[in-house]
Order: sequence, then structure tokens, then C-alpha cells
Amino acid sequence: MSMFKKSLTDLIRGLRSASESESAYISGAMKEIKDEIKSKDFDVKSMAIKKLIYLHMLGYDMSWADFNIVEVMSQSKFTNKRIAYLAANQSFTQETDVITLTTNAIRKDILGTNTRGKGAIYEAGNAINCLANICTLELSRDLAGTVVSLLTSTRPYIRKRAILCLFPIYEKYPPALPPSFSKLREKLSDPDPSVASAAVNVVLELARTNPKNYLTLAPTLFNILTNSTNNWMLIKVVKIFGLIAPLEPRLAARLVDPLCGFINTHNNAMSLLYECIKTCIACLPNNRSVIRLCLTKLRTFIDHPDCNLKYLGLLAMAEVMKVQPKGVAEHRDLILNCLDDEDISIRLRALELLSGMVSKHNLAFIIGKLKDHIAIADSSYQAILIEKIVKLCSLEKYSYISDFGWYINTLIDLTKIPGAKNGCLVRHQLLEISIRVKSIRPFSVNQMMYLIADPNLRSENIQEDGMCEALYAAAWIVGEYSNLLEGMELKALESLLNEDVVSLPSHIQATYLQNVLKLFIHLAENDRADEAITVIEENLSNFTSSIHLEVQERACFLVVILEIYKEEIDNPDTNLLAELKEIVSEEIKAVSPNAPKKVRLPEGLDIDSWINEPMPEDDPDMYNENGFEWEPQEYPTNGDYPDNQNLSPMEIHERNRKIEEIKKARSLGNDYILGNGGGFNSEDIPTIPLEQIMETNFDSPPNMNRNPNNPRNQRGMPRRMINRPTAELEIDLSDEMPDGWEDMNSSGEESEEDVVKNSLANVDLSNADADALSTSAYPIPLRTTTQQTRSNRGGQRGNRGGQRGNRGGQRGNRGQPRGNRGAPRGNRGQLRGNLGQPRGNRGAPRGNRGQLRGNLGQPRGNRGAPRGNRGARGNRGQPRGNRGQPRGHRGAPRGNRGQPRGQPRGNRGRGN
Amino acid sequence: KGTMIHFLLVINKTGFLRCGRWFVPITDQEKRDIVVELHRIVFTRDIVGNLSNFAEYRNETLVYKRFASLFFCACIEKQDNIFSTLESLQVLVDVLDTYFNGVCELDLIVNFFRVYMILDEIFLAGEIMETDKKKILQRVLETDKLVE
Repeated sequence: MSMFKKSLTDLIRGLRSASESESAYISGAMKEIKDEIKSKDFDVKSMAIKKLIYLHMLGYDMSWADFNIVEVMSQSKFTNKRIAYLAANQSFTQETDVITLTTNAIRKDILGTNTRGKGAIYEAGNAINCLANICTLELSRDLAGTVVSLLTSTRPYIRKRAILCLFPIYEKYPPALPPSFSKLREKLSDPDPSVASAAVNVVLELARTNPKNYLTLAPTLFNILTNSTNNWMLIKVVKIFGLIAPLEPRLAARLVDPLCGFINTHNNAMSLLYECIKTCIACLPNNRSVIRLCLTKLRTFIDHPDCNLKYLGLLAMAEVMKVQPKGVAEHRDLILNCLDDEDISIRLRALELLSGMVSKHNLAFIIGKLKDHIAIADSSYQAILIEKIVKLCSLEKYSYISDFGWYINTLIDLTKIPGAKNGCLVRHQLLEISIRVKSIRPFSVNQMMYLIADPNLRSENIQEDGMCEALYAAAWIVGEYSNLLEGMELKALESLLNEDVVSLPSHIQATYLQNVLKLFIHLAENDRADEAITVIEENLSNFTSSIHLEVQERACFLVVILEIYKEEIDNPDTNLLAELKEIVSEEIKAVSPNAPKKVRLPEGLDIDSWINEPMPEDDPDMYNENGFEWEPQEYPTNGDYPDNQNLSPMEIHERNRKIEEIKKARSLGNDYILGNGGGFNSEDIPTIPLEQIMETNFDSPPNMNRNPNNPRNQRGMPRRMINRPTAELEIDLSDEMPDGWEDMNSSGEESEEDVVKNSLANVDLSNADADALSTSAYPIPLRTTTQQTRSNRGGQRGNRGGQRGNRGGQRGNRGQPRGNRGAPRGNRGQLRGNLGQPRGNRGAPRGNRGQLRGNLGQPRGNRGAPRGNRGARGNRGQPRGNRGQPRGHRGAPRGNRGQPRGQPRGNRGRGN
Repeated sequence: KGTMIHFLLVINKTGFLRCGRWFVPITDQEKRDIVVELHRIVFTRDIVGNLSNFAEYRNETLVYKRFASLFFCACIEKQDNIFSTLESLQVLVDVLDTYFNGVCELDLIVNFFRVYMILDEIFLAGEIMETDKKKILQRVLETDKLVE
């Protein structure tokens, strides 16, 4: 019977035995699937899809079969249909272009429950399931009404699915929420527990986006809270109260009894207990007795040998810390014990709690504990610990530190951890403490001396953000506060100029050299310049030939300074030493991060204004039918290019040639200029005679209604033909607009963009009760299966209130001309144009342009139906492919619009 | 990302995906990366032994449990209830076990579409839909009759 080359079992078995040549086996199998999937027999087809799903699970692509999946989906045989739905669940993404073609199949299956036999509910179940997984904006908009109508189904099996499916629909298409909200609310008290539970689930997800909207549900939910015994549902209800009760103190007060009741009795259902505690903490942060009760419970959790409970307890403890940090501090002992736990999840949770419980007395102890952990931690956990140590010590502006000497030593200990990261953090702390805490400087300088002399530190752990960064701070501190060195200056110089230093990152080496200079000046002041010069000159050669420019430059600079010093020091006319001292005399102080804000803006400086008016943006969609356009190139008229201004093109060419010659003459004998020895030589190319192009040499291009009123067209400037299109182009399209397009843009109907902008959180449900579910609230699902003619559909769509049928149901609809998208595109242009504040007025031309774009190359007849294919995204595939790219690029600069833009844009203004 | 469960995966000890349902939009490449990362996390944790069933993954919480050679993992929002998620995984495994009469990895491989079917009876749109094992089984068996 086998029409298949392989059944699924064969495939699986084959794959297991062909472990050696798996890829060869799979490419063979894929080839067979590709053949089978083209088969006219739907059983073969669906079996091929089934095999494909299996391969997809192993990581192979199946997006190429999207259309075949849709085909099978609209089959009547349940076995096949089910496979197609599974395949769609697995492989369709938001970008799948055939997704709108599923609308009809899904609608048909969903509504089938009312009419057909017993199996129909499973078809509907599959369809709803699939819808929930693949839901896009279009699907949500078109099927919201259908799904809502299922809320009154007689079967709980369907009702619970429909309810849960509502949330993804609301998420994609928020306008569906208000009209169906009262239905959803009714379902909270559905007789079937799993249906009610589903409704609670959806309300919870909704309440997360905007809890205020759902305060009105409190009585119903309170009823569930006090009467239900279904823990799954209770957890969710308690969760909802955790979101809405903080907004309403009276409600919070009423929750005390039921919640405490659960906490005291439900010892077995930890999930519910945990949820109650969390809600108590969120709603009743000031009710001491309740918080106390919670803390006692949490203590038993954390103390429990079961690590899941431990984790849960610490998780809840973090919530307590937000409202009652002192409450956590009481349980310090337990939490500190958790730091030793084997489980990193638990340790991380405990770490998080530490910042709530440090004090002046226990900081050293806690840090000591963390330091012990560092020794045995893996690298990622090590980095977390180092960060934590620094964070804990710098808490409250270092107010928990009683001895900064201890802190500096702690930081030095951190630098000794092999391979540790977070060096920049340590560097910053060392600098900060040494600069801010004057009394610690002598100690700090002394310790830094050891740091720079440490041979391990400068040769090991050289990596980005590694501990070598601490040397940056050490060198700076030693140099800056060299007056505190007390006779160790020469030793410091030797350490700074050690030959190992050359292996450090360049910015650290540069700092080293800068501080060598500081040390030298300090020594010169104390009449020890000669010794210093000897040491420096002995070692500096390592740096003067450094491959790092910055290092080399500073080293050479140092050499020159030393030479000048040697020559000039005895010259009584110049006071060289005093001048050198000038470099380092001013004390460096810490600057508050807020300081720059206090600098007043100089008068007349406007950071937001354009330096140059921006050029209109390139718009790749603006090609006309001929693929190019006459660009009204603007030549400068006011001396922008002084050199070119009065030259003819011939003269410019001549001048450029001369420049080239001069350049070439200069480059002769210069080894660093490429192309000298037998490479490219422009003389090999015969000069191409240049003809002056006059505008009159060309006919005006076809199909361009050049607007004679446009001043650019009147200027007798030579025009260049280039194929970079411009957006400034003005085309009079007033008679090409489809009827009613303006109304459509301004009628307040939501366009796709509006819908996306209106996120779920902004939905106003205050009038939800008044909006009874009526047919006008949703587009009526049209249940015909016959295809409508195109013009017909367009017409209906244009009306928009009307029926919306058969959107992209079958194959026939595919590949229709893309012109129809004109209108929505136009809209989009409009919106986008409005985005940029300074050029709000660009909105209109953009809209036009969109319109134009859409209409290009489209047969005239279709144009009357602007909204036409909006939803029929089946069409999308084609145009998208081409357009996706430029669009994507466009997104980026647009996003940046708010930023200062003088620079890049200004450049553009020049054109080319 | 509004749903409670972002994705639910069954991964075997060697890192093969045996069943995966994604409730949030993710590209195929990301899916593959996630499977690898998740496997590394749960596998190393499993070797240590006696650890909690929760781990932090990206900005979410990973709830997992090992049954024989398979890891059942669910990735949920941080603020969601980790215990009830764990219990729902238990429901899934119990149903599978009853349905296959002692489930093993090979059952899941050969009958992967049935596994999805069972999964879809328990979870929908990233929420826990049904937890009554008897009801779930009854529905699954009825569907089987339709398919023959």
C-alpha cells in the first residue's frame, strides 16, 4: 500500500540506525518529503508534513512547506487536518506570509461545532489551539468575533479554549477587548470549574497590563476566593488581588481574613501559600501582624531541608525586603547560611537579600564570607560575587565602612584572584577611595606601591576588564600622590618602567608613562633629577618603540622633556622646574555626576537646531516605472563651493587632473603610499574626453508631470541624471487618489499602526458594560465558502463597516497584484511623516508618496477600492520580499530622529 | 510576552528536543540556541544532584524536572508561581504515563504528535487550562477514536 517511500516509523528508525551519516540520510529523506508534499493525495501530503514536523523538531527548516500546510488545513478529514494544525503550531511565525490564508479554515472549524457531529468539537479545539499559537494582528481582527461567539457554547471543552484564546487576541488587537469584556466577566462564575479557571487566567494576564481596569471585578473574585476549593484557580485569584488591591486600601483590608486563613491552614499546598504571602506583602505592607505572620512562615520555608521551599522562601523574602527591609535583617542567620548552599539558584537569591541586611557591624563578616566563596566559585559566579562585594561596600555612600584601610585591602585581595573579571569596578573603587578619603591616602599610596611592584599582576590576567585594570588606578595614585611616597620614588619609577609593563593593555601603559612624568617632576623638585633621569633613560626604550600609538607618543614626549630638562636646567633665564610643576600642581578633586547639569548653557547656543537643513531621505520605493528619475539636483548658488563656483565642468576636470598629478609627484619615493611600484597607475588609462552635458541635450523623461510652479524647475541649472531617487520630488497626483482616501485617513478608524500603538494597557474598560456584544462591535464573519470576486471584496472593504468575507481563503487569492496595498501604505507614510516633530509638515507629502508607491504599476480599475486587500495578506509575500530590506534600514534612522542630528545629516546636505 | 509560560520543552539527556511548544514568537535559530543552553543548565544541575527545580534563565525563571532520561522544562515569567508550574509538569507526565502505560523516551519519539495532543489538552496559549487528569485522558482517547 505504501505510496510513501518511508513511513514516520521508518524515518525514525532509519535515523536512529544511520547515526554515522545522519545528514546524508536526512537530506535523502527531505528530498522524498518534498516530492510527497506535492502529491495530489492529501493522505500522502499530510504524512509528508508529519515527517517534516519530526525533522523540524531536530532542528531542520520547514518554513518552505507553509503553503502546503495551509492546503491540508482546509481538508475535511480530521486526521489530516490535525496534522496540519500541529504543523502550523510548530512552524508558523508572525512573519509567515501565508498565515492570513488560514483565516477561513480556522473560522470554518471553529463554527463547525454548532452544526456537525461529535468529532467537530475536536476540530474546533484544534483550530482554537492553533489560532492561539499563530495569532497575528490580522487573524485577531478577523476572528475575534468568532471566538467571542464561542463563549456561549454549550460545551465547556470549547468554552475554556475560547476564553484562553482571547488573551492572545487582545494582545494583538486591543480594540477587541471592550466589547467582549462583559462576556468574559460572566465566565468568571461559570458552573464548570475549568472554564471559570480559564477566565481567571485571562483576567490575570489582562490585569498585569493595567490593574486599574479590573478593580470592578473585585466582588466576583472575592466570592471565588472565599468559596472555591480549586487551588489552581485560587492561586490566580490571589495573584489578581496582589495586582489590584494595592490600588484600593479598603479592598486590601478585606483580604486580611481570607489570606491569613489560607496561610494558617493550607500547609500542604505550598504554591497557594506562597502566593498568599506574596499578595499580603504587596497589599498590606503596613499591617505588622500580617507581615509578621508571613515572615514566620517564610522562616520555616528557608529553614526547610527541601531546596525548592528554600528557594521559594528566599524569593518571597526579596518581596518583603522591598517594603520592610528590617524584617529581613532579623533572619540574617538563615540567609547567610543559604550562601553556603550547593545550589546556585539559592545562592543567587540569598545574595540579592544581602544588601538589605548589612550594617556597620556585620559588613566585614559578610564580605569575608563572600571572599571565601570567590575562591571556589566558577568564573561567572566569581564576577557576580566581586560585583556584590563592591556594591555592598559602597552602599549608602560607603556609610557601612568603618575602616577604609580594610576596604583598600579587600580590593587588593580581589585583584589577586586569578582570572577574575570586573577589574574596571575595582579600579574605579581604588581611585574613588584614594581621591575622596584624604586620611587614607598615605596608606593607599603605600599599598599601591606593592601593587605595581607585584610581578603576577602585570603579567597574568591580562584581559578585557581583567584585574590588570587595578594597575591603572595604582599607577595613577602613586604618581599623583608621589609626595607621600617617602623615599620610595625611585623604586616606584623602576616598577612603572619594568619591562613586563609592555604586555599590559595600552591605556594602562599610557597611564604609567604619564605618572612616570609626575614622579620625575617630584624627584626634580627634591634635587634628585639625575637619579631619576638615569632610571628613566635606562628603561624607556621599551616604550618609545611601542606598537601602541598612545604609548609611543607619550614615551617620546617624555624623552624630549628629559632632553630639554638637561639642556635648560642650568639656564637662569628660564624657570623650567616651575613650569613643569605647573603640570601637576592642581589637585584633582572628585566631581559629582550631577555637576555637568549645573553648567549653564551659553547664550545663543541651540543644540536642537539644524546645522544644515537635512536632505530629504532616500526612498528606494520612489523609483518610477523607468527605474530612474530626473533628480532636481541643487547646485550651490551662494558660494558654497567657492572653487567650483565659477568653473565650467571642463575646467573642474582639468583642475582635478592637476591635483592628481601633484599628488602623484608627492607620493613618488614614499613607501607608505600604495600603488607606487608597478601597481595601479592612472596614466595607463587614457583620459576619457569629457563632454559638457547640457539640459537641452535630453528630452524630458516620460510620465513625469513636472510641476512648473516648482521653483526648482525654473532655475536654469544643469541637471544631472543619477539614479538615486529623491523624496522631495513633487508630483501632482491630485486626480490619482482613490475616492474617499482622505476620509479614510481622518475618519478615526484605527489603521494597523493605531492598533499597535494602542497597547492593551491603554484600553479603557470603564464603559465596557454599556458596550453589549453586538454585531456592530465586530465584523460579521461571513460564512460563505464561495470566493467573491475581487472588485466585490474591495468594495466591501472600502465600506469597512460591512462584511468582510473570505479574506485570502484559497489559493486563487494569492499573487494578486500588489498595487492594492496602496492605501494602507499611504496611511503608514502619513503616520510616519508625523513622527518627526521638527518636520511635521512632511506628513502630507509622505502620505502622497505612499499612495503613489502603492499605485504604481497597478491596473487602474482596482483603484477604487483602497482598503481592498488590506487584510488579504496572502498577497504580501511577493512585495515584501523585495521591500523588506530597504524598509528595515529605514527604520533605524527614523528611530533616531529625536537625537541631535546636525552632524550626519548636515553632511548629507552636500549631496554628491 | 504576556503569557505565563513562554515555552515548554522536553529535552533528553543528550540534548535532543523531544517535544517543544513555544508560546511566544521565537525564530527557529533562537529555538535551537535555547535548547542547547537549557540542556546545559539542567544537565549540569542534574549532575550535582539534590538541587532545587528552579534556575534563572535570561530574565526568566526556568522550572524543570527530570523524569528518567527526560527533562521537562518550562520557562515562565519571574513573578509567576513556580510551584504551580512544577505541579502542571507533573500533571503532564502523569497523563503521559497513564496514556502510554509506563512512558519511556521511545514512546515520545514515535508518538510525538500524540504528545503534542496531550500537551494541548493541558496547556493553551501559555496558560494551564486543564489539570483534571481523568478528563484529559478521556478527551485524548476520544480523539484517538476519531483518527482510528
